[in-house]
Amino acid sequence: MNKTFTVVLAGNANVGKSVIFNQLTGGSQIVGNWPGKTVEKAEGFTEQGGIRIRIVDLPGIYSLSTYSEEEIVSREFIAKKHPDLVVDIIDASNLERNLFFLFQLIELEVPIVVALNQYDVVEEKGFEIDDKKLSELLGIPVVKTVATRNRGLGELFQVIADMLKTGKKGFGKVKYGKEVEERIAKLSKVLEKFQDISYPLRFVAIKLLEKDPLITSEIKSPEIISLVENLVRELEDIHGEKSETVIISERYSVASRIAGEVLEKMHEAKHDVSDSLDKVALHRLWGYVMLLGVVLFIFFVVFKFGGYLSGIIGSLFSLLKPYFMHLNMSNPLKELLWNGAIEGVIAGFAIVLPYIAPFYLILSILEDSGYLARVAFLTDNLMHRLGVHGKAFIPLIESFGCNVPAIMGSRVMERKRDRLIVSILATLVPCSARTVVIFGLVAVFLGPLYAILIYVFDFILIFIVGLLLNKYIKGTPTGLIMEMPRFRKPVFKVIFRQTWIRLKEFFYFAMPIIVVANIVMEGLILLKFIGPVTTALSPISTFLGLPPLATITLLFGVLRKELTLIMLATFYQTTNFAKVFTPQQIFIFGFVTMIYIPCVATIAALKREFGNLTAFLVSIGEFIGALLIGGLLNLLLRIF
Amino acid sequence: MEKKKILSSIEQGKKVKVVGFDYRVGSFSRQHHRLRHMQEAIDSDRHGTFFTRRLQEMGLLPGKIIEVVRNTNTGPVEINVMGSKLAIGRGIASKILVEEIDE
Repeated sequence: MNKTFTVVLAGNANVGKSVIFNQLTGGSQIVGNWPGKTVEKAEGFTEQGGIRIRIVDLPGIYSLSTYSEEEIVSREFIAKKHPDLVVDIIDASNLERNLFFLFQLIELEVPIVVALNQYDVVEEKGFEIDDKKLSELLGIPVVKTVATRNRGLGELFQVIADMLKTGKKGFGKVKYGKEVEERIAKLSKVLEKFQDISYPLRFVAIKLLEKDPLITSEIKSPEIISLVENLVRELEDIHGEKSETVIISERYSVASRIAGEVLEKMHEAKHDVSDSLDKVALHRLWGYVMLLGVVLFIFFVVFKFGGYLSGIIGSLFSLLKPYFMHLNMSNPLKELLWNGAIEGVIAGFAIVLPYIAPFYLILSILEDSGYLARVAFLTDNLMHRLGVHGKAFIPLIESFGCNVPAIMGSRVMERKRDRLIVSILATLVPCSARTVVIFGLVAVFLGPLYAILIYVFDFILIFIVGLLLNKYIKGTPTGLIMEMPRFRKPVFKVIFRQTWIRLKEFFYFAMPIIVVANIVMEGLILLKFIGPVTTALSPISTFLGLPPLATITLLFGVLRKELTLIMLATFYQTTNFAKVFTPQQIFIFGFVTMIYIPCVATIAALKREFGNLTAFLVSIGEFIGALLIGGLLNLLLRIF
Repeated sequence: MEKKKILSSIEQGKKVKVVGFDYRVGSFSRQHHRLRHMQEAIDSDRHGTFFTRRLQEMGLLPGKIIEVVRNTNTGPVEINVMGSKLAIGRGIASKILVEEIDE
């Protein structure tokens, strides 16, 4: 049997879909504890009990209506690609809201398995869920799981494999109140006459009664339109609410009834640590103190630990040089290899890795703990000044790691305007590559206070740009609606895995670029091409008050920002930059590197999300802005 | 002593019953039907239609009892609805109508 089955993972946001996806496929979906991480569907393959399965991880959604791109994408995928099985991953500690979503899957008439995930939280709250009874009531297999601790997953995979092999299917059943069911039946009967409906009839009937805009717009027959109008009016007269509210209420009342039947209180809830932590983390004063503390903590850990590690790795590598130089090779080739290729690798290991590794580790801990959602809560007011709500802060924090996933992650914002503002601001956030330059250059040679000063300057700049964007991009700001995830003790396996996923990016993607760019640069030096280039760039160099060679590194920095620092080392044959730079130059160089243009990967991400024009304008705008500010700094630092 | 209040004015720790929303709830104008992409509709949503529905889908239905977990008179209001916590921006919270209930 060679058939490849398709299994879809669906469910609310932040229920553990991506964790289960990673466990199933060995995939590297970014996981974390806040709603809205998965912005695009991910695919992977697995073998279970001798059959090949394609697993699709869908973004988390609360409903199958059409209020966001994610919901439309998920609905289309489930309804039109006819997966062999849909695994609805349910947050067991939040049964009613998750059943609300499950009922809509059932309306789509697809085969379903339910994973009652995060079951440990149910137990902590003092409850048990009667999974057998739930399975009977729903007509769907139900498995209890705790994905982060790998509990119950074996059984879940077994059930999935069995259902695929035997072709046994649980479509599930759900009945709403009499008035609603009668009207669904009446409408379905009329709909039967039409062949060109690509969804199940019952689903279409319900969506029409709910006034789902996309489905409604597909219906052209005047007969149906007037019937729907009549039925909607009847429902609204009976219940005194809008018909969509009536349907939502119906689903919730069935959900509450079922939850009431299967939930059993076993003992009093354990003391909720998450609630206690929130008393501090969300406090109107201590919350901000804690946030500042966390930021400073990250700064100093990365700086101290990175600097320490950088020293050790650097001196280890420098032991190699004498051996290499004794090799029997022509001198230019030897120089090209050592200064170009090997120095590039060394720089990657000695200058870049020591700073990004601890940073990624801390970022993973923050993601997994649930703290990012608290930051979104605290910064909601501030972000409203920039025309976006607090959730925008999450991609901005991610941006400290890398701008590219931050731009993708801006999709947690509901509106396009918000996504654009967040993405532009994200390009100004110092990513790990720029952190390397700031730490390895500014902090080391001017002291950590100057590094902090550069950050503060940058944050002020981001705020000003945000104010301007809010003023000049059309549209009104929207409000925050966000589920607050519980604080969770970070799981070390997950954190290390997450850190490794990001470091892998650095090894496989950034390192080759660094090495190749370094070789090209060394070639240019050997072929004496550097002279003309520096002459061409001399106006910029003079304007910024930088040595001409430093300006060339900015050209390469467009590829990867850490290249600027690495190339300085290659150029000057030293990592003691105090010898070749004045303190003013170090400061200006650091600041200009931080903002002068997004790197190519970021520009590509902007282009993908917002088109050529936006990518071009942002790049040019930041280039000019950086020149002006750099020039101004140069002027000011000369005067004082 | 039933009196309609807005959610953002409720002291933290109090339980309230959701009554409704002060803008038009969930009805789509003709214009919405004509828009080709939902994204345009969401972007042009001036009456909070989508957000009202999102709130309802997350359980804030008329008649539901919710608890105000955190309300510090600045920033979002945190509520407990059916055992899960929801943060709602102040702007939206001031459009949700509630009734205080006696415990």
